[in-house]
Amino acid sequence: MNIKTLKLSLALLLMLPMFGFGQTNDYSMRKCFGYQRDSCSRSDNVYYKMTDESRSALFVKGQSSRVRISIYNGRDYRVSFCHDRVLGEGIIMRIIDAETENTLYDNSEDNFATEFEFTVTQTRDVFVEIEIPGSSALADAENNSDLIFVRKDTDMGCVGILVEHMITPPKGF
Amino acid sequence: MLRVGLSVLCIVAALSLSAQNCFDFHRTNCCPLQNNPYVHYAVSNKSTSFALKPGDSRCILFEVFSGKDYRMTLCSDSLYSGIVSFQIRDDNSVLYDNSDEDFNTFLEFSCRKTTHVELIISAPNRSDVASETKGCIGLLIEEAITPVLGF
Repeated sequence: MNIKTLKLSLALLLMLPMFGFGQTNDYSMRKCFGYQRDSCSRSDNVYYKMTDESRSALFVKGQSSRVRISIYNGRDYRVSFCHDRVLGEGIIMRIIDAETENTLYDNSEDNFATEFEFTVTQTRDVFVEIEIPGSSALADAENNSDLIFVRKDTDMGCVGILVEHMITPPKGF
Repeated sequence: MLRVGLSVLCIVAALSLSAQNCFDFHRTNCCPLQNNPYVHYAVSNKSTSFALKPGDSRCILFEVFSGKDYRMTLCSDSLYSGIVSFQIRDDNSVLYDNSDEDFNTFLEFSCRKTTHVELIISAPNRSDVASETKGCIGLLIEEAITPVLGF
């Protein structure tokens, strides 16, 4: 073992406690980090790029939650979602106009499709809303502030929303 | 004087020996039934083990905090064959009673309001054993920060 290797080993040994202190017991951060990137299937169209507005979160049955995204004129979008099997089937995805609250797309009218592609002709903000069918004590307790404790559902799972976009390709000559 | 001191020492030693029969019973015997992969529990220092005579109860004062999840696992030795009553009470009411759930030994909940509660553990009556017989009961309490749900 030469001097250089010895020094490197010693430095690593001294740094070891720092890694230990670097660990945190704060688990309040959102779980399912990067789920949309790792679990949702991307479009076959190579021109689609994933946007930073893609999100993932932890859900229980009976819960709904929405995320606000901006969509821009002159772009095509593909919005898709994926989820853990524990949450069951028939998950609803809606795209809602953020200003008027009009539902622009509802996948329950589209055979519960997990992806939707569209072209934008007016820049605006929309909500992508996910609703998990069924019920759970945690979801039911959301609106009840009198409860001291709520029985936990272990049927929790991740949902990811993948938002991809590209410049709308020109049509015709 | 020395004789009195020695006697006291013997009594204390005898008492502590009998108390140690159930020492760390909850650590070795209480095993949570379900494991939630999204919640990382840590064992609370309020977890406890003790010896109880049939028909006796033990009350543990405990504070639950809003924004935390709790998991409680009850275990007992063969004397009570798993039938131990467990109640959670606040000042006004019974929040949970495991006798409504066939003496369930596992409870997982999210706390929404910081409050003091009493955890009351009662051993069942046993007519077939000597009244001085004691059995071990353990209560494993684990806590974690409630995970954020939704976007």
